[in-house]
Amino acid sequence: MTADLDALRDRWLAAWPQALAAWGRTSRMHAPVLHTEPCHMGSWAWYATDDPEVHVDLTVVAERGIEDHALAVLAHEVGHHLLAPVDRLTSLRIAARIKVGLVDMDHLVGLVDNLWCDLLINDRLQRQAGIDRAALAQTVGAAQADNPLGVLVGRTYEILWGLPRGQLAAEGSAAEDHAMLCSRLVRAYARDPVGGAAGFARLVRTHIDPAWLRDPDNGADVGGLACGGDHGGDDSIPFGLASDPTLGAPATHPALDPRVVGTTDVPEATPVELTPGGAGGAGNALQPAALHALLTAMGSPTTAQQVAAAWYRERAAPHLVPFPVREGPTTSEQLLGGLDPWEVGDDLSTIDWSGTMTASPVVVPGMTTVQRAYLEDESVQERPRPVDLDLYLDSSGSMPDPSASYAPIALAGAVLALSALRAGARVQATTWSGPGLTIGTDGFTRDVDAVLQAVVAHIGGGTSFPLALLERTHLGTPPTATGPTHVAVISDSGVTTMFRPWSAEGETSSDVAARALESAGGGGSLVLQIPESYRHGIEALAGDYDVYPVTTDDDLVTFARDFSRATWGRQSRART
Amino acid sequence: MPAPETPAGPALATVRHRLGVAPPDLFEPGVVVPALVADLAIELDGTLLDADSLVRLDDDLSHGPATPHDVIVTRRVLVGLVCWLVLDPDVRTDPGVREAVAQVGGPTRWMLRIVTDVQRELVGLRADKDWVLRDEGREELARAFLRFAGVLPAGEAAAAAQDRWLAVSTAYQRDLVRAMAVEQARAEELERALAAQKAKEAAAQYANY
Amino acid sequence: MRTTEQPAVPDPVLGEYAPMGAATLTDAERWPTLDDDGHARLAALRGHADAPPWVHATGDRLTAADEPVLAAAERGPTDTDWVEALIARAHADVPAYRRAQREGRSGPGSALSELPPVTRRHLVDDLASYVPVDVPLDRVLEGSSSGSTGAALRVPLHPASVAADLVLLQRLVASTGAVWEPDPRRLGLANVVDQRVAFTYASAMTAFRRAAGLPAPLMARLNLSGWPDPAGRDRFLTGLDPQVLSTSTLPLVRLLGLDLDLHPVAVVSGATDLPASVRAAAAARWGCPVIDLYGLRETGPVAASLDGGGHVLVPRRVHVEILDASGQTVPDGSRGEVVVTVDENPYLPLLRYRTGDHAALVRDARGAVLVGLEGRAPVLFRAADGTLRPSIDATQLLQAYGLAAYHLHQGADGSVHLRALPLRGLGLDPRAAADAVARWLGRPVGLTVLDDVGGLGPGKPRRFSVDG
Repeated sequence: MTADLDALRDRWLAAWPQALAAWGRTSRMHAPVLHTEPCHMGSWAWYATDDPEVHVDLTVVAERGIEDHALAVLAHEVGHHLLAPVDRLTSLRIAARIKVGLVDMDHLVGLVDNLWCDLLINDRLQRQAGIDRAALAQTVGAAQADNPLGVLVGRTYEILWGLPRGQLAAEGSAAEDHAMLCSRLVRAYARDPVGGAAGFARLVRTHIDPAWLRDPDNGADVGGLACGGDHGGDDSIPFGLASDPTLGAPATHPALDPRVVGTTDVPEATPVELTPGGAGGAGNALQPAALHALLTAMGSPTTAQQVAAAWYRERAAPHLVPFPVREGPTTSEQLLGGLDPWEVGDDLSTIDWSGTMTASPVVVPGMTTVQRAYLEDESVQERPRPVDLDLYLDSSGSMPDPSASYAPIALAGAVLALSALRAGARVQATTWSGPGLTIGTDGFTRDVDAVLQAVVAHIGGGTSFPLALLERTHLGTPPTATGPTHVAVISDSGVTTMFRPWSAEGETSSDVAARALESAGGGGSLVLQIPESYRHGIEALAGDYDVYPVTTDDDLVTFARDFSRATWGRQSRART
Repeated sequence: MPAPETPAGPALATVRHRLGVAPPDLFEPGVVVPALVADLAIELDGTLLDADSLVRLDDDLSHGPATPHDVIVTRRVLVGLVCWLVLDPDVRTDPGVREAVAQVGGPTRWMLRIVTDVQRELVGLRADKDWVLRDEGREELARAFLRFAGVLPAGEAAAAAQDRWLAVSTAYQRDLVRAMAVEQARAEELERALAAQKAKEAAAQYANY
Repeated sequence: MRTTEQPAVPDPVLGEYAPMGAATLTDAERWPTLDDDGHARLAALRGHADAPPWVHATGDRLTAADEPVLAAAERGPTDTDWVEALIARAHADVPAYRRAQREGRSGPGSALSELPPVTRRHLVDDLASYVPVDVPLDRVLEGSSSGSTGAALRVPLHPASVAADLVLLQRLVASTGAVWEPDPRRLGLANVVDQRVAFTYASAMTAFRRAAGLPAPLMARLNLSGWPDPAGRDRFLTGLDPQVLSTSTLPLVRLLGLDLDLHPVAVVSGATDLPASVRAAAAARWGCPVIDLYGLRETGPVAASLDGGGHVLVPRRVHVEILDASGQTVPDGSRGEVVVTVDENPYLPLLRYRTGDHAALVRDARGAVLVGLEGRAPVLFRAADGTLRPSIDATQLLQAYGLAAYHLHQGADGSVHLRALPLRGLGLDPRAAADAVARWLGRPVGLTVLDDVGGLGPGKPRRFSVDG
């Protein structure tokens, strides 16, 4: 058997150049991984978007009797890398649209996504590259009548390729009009897998028995027309998903899609409810919870908090201060300095490995790691250290959970914190609610992930500003703040608990906030979503803190952007 | 759908190819198409078309108060292309075509039927030159021709020929997608109507069942 | 309106039964044709000192344009070829039949017997395919039906066809010889239920056929368990003395047990089988005709039994066939499934709708008659405190907890077991449904989770059963 498989492997390897050539361009993909031991992937072939790679399980190839279809199988898998989905970002964009079209069938996202990509790839191969996917599908067998999804797809292929009924789908069991519409959809979106995905999913969701779709046992057998899909190990969250203003748009049924049926045949414009744009809305972008559900549906173990962190990081990006640009002399004039600690969040490439290994044979990132310091030549204009940021975000019951839907306060917090980090400052980020309820970095750090986790945290309890933490940070012995630090609080009228905390005796007066501000030495801002009329009352309490009332969600983000530019942007340096 | 016993005619590729090499003259406005048909009838079996046939053809192919100019032009082009296909020796000598010709009572009656039916089926569906320049146009016209000629494309069963015809028939697809668009728009409207608060409040009920 | 004393909704999933949770219109929209006097009388009824807490507000929504439909309902159908006409129209306008025609399965000239029967499941999964595309949807109302397999079905209703039920009731009452004329001192009709939670409301019956100038009689939907104080309920009922009691078996039994001084012109019972003993008791107590009305929310009224001797088809565009298990028509007199063709609701004409109920069809002087109709047996569960609880309460709970199909059984020893098929893919835990039933009955509830509807056994899944 093994000898047979080895011979089979040689035959399949020989087909590889032709499989690449079917796509009419030079590809740098390396040779396929041809497994001769069973992989139990549920299919004979699959691919991985993270490392452009094609896998074939030759034991399944032999078992299903498709040894002579090397070109059709390999060219198909190449198609996943060159047409649909191409890369992880596009793959998730397609999946996001599939998910919208399926409405409430998240467990089918992966399957329907793969069927859709396969339709585009197979039709292109069959019709334009002269590669016989139909023969491969026939060898494997027609979709049975009890598999309505397989029948729809099979009949669609029959129509696309002019095959007699019954070759790829049990005869007489498909709704002819739906298959006809599906074939038009495939042709209309032949080069736009993202654009057509929602319509395909909508067709499936609307016309296939929902009880069948819900049954977890169904759909496992994708038949002879689909491959095993994407089996990369990449669980990353690509940049570009959170701010794409189209991914959450409602799905148009193909029968109402002018690209499918022609502009004159759509009876009337179907009202589509669009989410207003603006800093947070961004049209029909995916909300954090929807993005998390998408990644979960695609098998990623990512947590809601990780997704939220990535979401706000992406949304904050356009608002951040520009990267600091070194002025004057270039790095060639830097002088080699001593070794400084390398902390989590610092650029990995700056670790001085010989220094690190000398210090300790056991490497603990952020503890034993060091980086080489570079001293600026004396002639270089002095670069003062940017002010650190001590950030407090109100997460009492009235605030939305940032990991569920867009929370302006979290985005504003992300803009402030990420701007500070980008400028080289350190950040302590704390999300607070009722007494003793805080989630935060508990100390200053340059670790972006740790800061974002604190920014997107949600408590949703009472309102009681964490004065003890503020006190420890700036008035402790020693204080945890090590240099000039700006204290920023984003809240609403609950900010009064910073100056008049509740105790067993009721509301009391406290000067901790005032003394902490003085000690911090970098100023203080209270960014408050309050009516303008509250302003004077709070200013009277707030002493030297600057009070910035904002009225709308967008104002909050705009404030954060402008404030960041002023504090950590280039122009600000001279001032500090 | 063609009857199962419909004879097999020329291969689809033969007809498509013939369309691909149609003389450009057929698209010239100066071509007198009724004369072309009359000449073809004489060539086919020596028939001198009777006045009735020519009048009917003229009605279809001449300018009248009700027929816009571009429709007439299009009809003439289609008739010219059918004549070009009928003239093809590979078509005329095909045994299946001979059988179909015999069934309808002679070459001229056979030809007149195709001429009439094809232009009625296809008029206005594509730009004139697309019937010969574009793959889909050639496929649709070739299939329409064989269908109205009473033969199946060589090698195709009646059911498969029917399915393929429907898949390329612009008119069928247009009607189908119109019907489906109406139905889907309606389904979405019903969904909204049922979800509306005024529907939810329902109405007083007088009996239980 | 008094809504404040309403007890809290008994289960969190039943939020729409919170007072006025589903009422949104103005009174002018509810009764577009009602005059000021009618509104004043209605206000008086709503504000009656002993009125129950009204859980809902709804009217008949009738406009002057609906009058021809109501007049036609008063006459009954005059055309004999309406089934053929419906088949032809369905192939032009009803998506399911348009599609069948496109695919050559049937056409406008097909015989009724050639068309495949339609099941409740078809309507649950793809309602839009059975709603004609050419009827304006601006007046659609949502009716719902709990049905036989558990999954709720939304039925699009038209105000005129809902109101035509009232006209039909008038005809049926008149056919017994009873006299039902507007009487401003009395409630014209009380639709009486007895449930843990139910929509209750007061309305004016502007569709009521009456001599010109007479005011529209009032009606109310009443829940015998819906008053905070039973004495108030009894005063309300005896004080307004409804002319027609429209109800079903269990509330009727309860009403008889209350022993109130009522003088109904007629009693109409529907939804569940009416045992001869209950019919006889009602007739004896009140000396009035008792009408057993058979129908489904999807089809509207189908047949009525005026005397307990078979259900006669009602004078509507309704046609009944009896099919055997293989879908073949059986000869008259043989039992089988009742399959209804009906063309009354413009939003849902139905061709060969399988009711899931069984009977034999005979024809006599009264017309077509369903004999031995069964499938509507009411079930009572025994709570831990000894009270009897109607299965409708459980229906509301089990559907709200997302069960696709179920069978709730109580053994002779009182033990309760739920066999449940959850709607898949929704992440719902059938245990929550069992827990809700346990709270309802005050008894522990065993649970078996099924993975397909076949687990409920062949035929119509019995949803409720009680031993002993």
